[in-house]
Amino acid sequence: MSLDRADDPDARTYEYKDRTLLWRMVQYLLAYRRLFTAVVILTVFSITISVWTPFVLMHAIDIDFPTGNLQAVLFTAIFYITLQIFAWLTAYGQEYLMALMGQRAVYDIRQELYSHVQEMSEEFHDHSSSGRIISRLTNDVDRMSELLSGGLISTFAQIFVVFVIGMVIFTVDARLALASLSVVPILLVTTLYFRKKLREAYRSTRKTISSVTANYAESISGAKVTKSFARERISAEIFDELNKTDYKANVDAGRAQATFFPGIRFISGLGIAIVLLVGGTLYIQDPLTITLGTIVLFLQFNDRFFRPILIIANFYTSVQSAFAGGERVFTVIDSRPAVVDRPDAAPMPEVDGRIQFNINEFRYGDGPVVLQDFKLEIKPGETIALVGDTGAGKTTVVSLLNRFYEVIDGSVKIDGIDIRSVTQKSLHARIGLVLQDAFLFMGTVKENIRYGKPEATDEEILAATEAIGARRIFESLENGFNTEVGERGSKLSEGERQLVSFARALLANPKILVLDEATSSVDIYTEHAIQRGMKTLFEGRTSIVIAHRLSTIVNADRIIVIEHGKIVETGTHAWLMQQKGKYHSLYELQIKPRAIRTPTQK
Amino acid sequence: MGYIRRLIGYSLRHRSLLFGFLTAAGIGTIFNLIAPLILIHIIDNVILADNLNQLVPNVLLYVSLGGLYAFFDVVGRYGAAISSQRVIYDLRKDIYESLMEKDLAFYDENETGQLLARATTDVTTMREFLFWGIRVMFIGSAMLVGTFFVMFTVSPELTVYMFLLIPVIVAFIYVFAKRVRPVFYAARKQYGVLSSVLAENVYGHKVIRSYAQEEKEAQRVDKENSGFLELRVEASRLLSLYHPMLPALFGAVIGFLIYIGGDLINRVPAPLSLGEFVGFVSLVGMLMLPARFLSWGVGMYQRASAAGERTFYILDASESITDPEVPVEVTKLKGAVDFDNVYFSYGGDNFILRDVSLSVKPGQIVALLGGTGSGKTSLVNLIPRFYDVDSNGTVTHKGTTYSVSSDRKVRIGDDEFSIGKDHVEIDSEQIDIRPPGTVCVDGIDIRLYSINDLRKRVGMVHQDPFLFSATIRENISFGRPDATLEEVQEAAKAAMIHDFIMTLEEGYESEIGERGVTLSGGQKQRIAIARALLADPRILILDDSTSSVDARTEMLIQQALENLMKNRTTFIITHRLSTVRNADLIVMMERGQIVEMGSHDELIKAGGLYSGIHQTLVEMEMAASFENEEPTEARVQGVDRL
Repeated sequence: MSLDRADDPDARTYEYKDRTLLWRMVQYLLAYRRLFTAVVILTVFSITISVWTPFVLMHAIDIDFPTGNLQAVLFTAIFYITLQIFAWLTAYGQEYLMALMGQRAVYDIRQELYSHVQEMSEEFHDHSSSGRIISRLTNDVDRMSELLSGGLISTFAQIFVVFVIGMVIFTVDARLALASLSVVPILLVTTLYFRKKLREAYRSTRKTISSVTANYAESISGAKVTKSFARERISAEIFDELNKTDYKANVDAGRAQATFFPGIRFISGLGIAIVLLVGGTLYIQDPLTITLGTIVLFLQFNDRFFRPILIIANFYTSVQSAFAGGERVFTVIDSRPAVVDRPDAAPMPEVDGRIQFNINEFRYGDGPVVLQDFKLEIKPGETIALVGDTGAGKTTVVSLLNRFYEVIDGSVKIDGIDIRSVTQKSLHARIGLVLQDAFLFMGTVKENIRYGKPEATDEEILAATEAIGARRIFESLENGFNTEVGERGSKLSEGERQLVSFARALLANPKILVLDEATSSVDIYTEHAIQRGMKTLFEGRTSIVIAHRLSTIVNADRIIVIEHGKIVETGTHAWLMQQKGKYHSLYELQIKPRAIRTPTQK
Repeated sequence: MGYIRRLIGYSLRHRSLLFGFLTAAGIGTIFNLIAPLILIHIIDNVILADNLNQLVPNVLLYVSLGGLYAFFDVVGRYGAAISSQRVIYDLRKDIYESLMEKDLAFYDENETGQLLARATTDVTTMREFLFWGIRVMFIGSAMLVGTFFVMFTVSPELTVYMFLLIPVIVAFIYVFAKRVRPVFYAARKQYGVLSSVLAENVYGHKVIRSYAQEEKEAQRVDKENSGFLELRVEASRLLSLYHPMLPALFGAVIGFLIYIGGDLINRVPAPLSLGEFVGFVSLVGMLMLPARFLSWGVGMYQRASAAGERTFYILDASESITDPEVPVEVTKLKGAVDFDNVYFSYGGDNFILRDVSLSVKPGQIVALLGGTGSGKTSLVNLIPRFYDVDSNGTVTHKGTTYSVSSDRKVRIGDDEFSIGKDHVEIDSEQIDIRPPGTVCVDGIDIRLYSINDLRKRVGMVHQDPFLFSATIRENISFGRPDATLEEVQEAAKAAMIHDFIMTLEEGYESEIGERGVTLSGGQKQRIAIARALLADPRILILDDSTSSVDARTEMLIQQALENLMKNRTTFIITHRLSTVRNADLIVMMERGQIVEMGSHDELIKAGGLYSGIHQTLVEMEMAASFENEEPTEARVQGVDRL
């Protein structure tokens, strides 16, 4: 499966129904049953208190004030204050527990997604860009946060509040209730209308702002080029255009935004006017059927209508965002890894390093055949150079050895053990993998070298770097071995990164080493250290190298030439050169030109 | 404070907008405050006084007050949107222009991502303050004063008690600023940490897997994820605690009002009417708003101030490379380049280049050789003035070089020595002062040319060139946007990329980058060569450390480079011996100094570092090309010096 899809954060594929998505999210909340129950109880409490409070005020105005009984007034006042304290406590409990439950659910989703991504086979990583996977783990999970940690429950609570208040006011005075509720539909329609308008306005500002950002990013990265062509003024003009467009879009959005809130507040104010008008008329014409307290009660309830409707309107936005995020997250969680440990998989024992490829045919999914009739036996301690054109199948060979993909027709064996019968983890522990693009983790040089063997002593680290001839290079870094390498090793040069990855591999000391040689070259000095390092690395272990460097190829025990997924030639450099076959032409056309040139004279 | 003042300074550029929207907000607030007075009037003098014919006009008055409030509020908000957006527009423009003027040292010191955040996210934060913050603080203060004023006109007796609410409001603002928000910021920061750990896990998944470190990584993720959970929950807890506190406290005040009001209403004569009581209850509710508003405002102020510090940093960073006051007129350059006694450092006594002198005649090819940190890149960066040569004199004492400060002193360790006329006495030793070095083009110090004139005549091509997300044509004509299609095609042909471009569906109009065609390294390099060809510089700087490409591409690049180098003074950074051998001058650099210089033959004869390296490389090649069973152990002389 692939994650590479539209970039709009709110885009949906509708792979899942809204109902399904909502239910799945709720299930993460339901994992905390006790918290959930507590939240529901507290919510009921808080609704009760909020509906009750205006009645106490009504009681004071209608009953206590006219009698002038100070004792009763004091009692009512204390009761009112007590209700407020309870309102605070229940709100605190309810909101806090709701957030606790929601945040735990978000934590759980992220953990689940993370372990799932870790379990996914390389196939998944090959087909999805890292940036997208990261955004699943970060932004998309976070998108559900608002809904889970409050939005969902409080919206239901608010809908409930609206109904409860609606019912209660009808029992108090149906005529006034009808009058007061008459603005609710207008309120709803206006709110929804503005929401839609605002969403459109924001969508266009998102577009304009992202072109401003993109232009900034490019201008900063390309500053050197812009300067070297002395083109600052034209670039500034182009930026100015984008900046202006963004200004206009934002001012337009500003207009919609400016009218929204005052508008609906005005409509809500109309409700008060209607209550005053109808209530006042009734009071004057028919004073026995209505009290002043009732009118005040309705005025108070009017305010309590206003908030729920805003929250409900807001719910739509947060639900859209949560659904979009949830859909993308669940798609990943629901995908199955292509390679799984067998139920009876045993750990791989210590090995000598004899490798047998016996592959009849291999293809990626339904794609074309990548490897065909690939039979190869590698002796323990042998160094093998894989050579061939791009796309010949070299990378596939090492991927299959690591079981990043599953061989269906054929087998790969190490010391006679089929790699499908052992656990992936133990298999990887036996095979060292040195990648073309040396990946380093944030931390120091030392920590990175120690990565595969956390218990390694400083002496061991020094010995390993000495062995690959990189000790002086590391020591001459700003803080020696304690130099921070930066994000993905960005503070080191390419060559230095490679040397760190060699030292790391040497220290982990695997019996089998797979090395995908870097193609980009470094300066002569580092290059030499790298070549020396590689030789040390190959000693005493079975090594398979996807080779690009002349020296690596020449020094290999055996060169395997692959063409269109088949082994076409094997042998040493000298022997293969004599054959004047595929290797010879590869050498003349690719390997030799890539190497540092021979002088033609002298 | 300083940054906010500067930000407001931007707002004041469009004074009428700023004051206009504040005035509108102020007028709106007045109407908002009058509304409860009408409510009191309706209850006391209409409803309770059985004055039915007064009811409709008074309710209409109430509605129109609400309408006026809404109208002025809309105007205030819209005005604030325009005003804040104007500031953002101006600010972005300034930032962009300032970024364009910065020298490369600035870009070396600041990561792209950081700069981008300062120019975008931080600017958005400031906009929030300008749009909401200013208005909300203004309305909040106005309402605080206004509500008390209105309360006082309704009932001075009750108002006295209401002053007790002021400490509550202050405490609320304080608690949010000092206790609640810091936890939110901490949570956001932790989110950043969590994200970067997750990102590392995704990017490094193969390494993690191959070293079987899944559990360790999972623990790391769990730790950061738990940390994030804790902070978020704590932030929510504080918010749940303090947020409902305000309505509860104000509710309690209403309870208190019931008691006091019940007493006052029943006195004879009553100092408080029923309507006044109801109006007062609604005024107390309105007093909650200033507390919220001011608290928001303070939060936005804090954030904007921090963001301002980061953004204004870009505007404040000074440019050390500037145009001369009266630049030398340039008509046509020949392309002679002279380095004379050049010292270069990023400030301090840590010299990247030391005592570099080099004379290049027009049209010559100079090959620069050396390891990482040898200074070869810094050397070529001096020619288009991406950096400037140190303008201080230097003193060399016991093998170490020290720069002479502008107050004519030399600092060695903790000691300071004053400079005489042209020498300094250190430990009773007379040491001559070396004057500051120069880089000259056609015999004229490059600092005397206008920067634009100079850079237009110095071209650069990198092995991993930067192309813009634009069409191929726009990329090639980057340095000369007015070039005709024919000219662009000519350049592309000479750069051996025309045929490839023609195979694309949209030819020269094809977009490059994420949304368009993806180019290989070799294709990018040739487009960059075409770009340089079209700009037609006199002096050329090539960074060609050959990335691996197939033979055909290699040939094309070679051909393109040859076309490019024709009739131009060329500096080429390379370790390809064929190129080196053909150079007129080979410059071997180590630790910022030229260690060997001359033609290939001269250097071979001299038998130094170059000849050693050359010899080894030849041996390696021989080992490969002859049918030699035992490959010669490759030894590179000079490696041990690393």
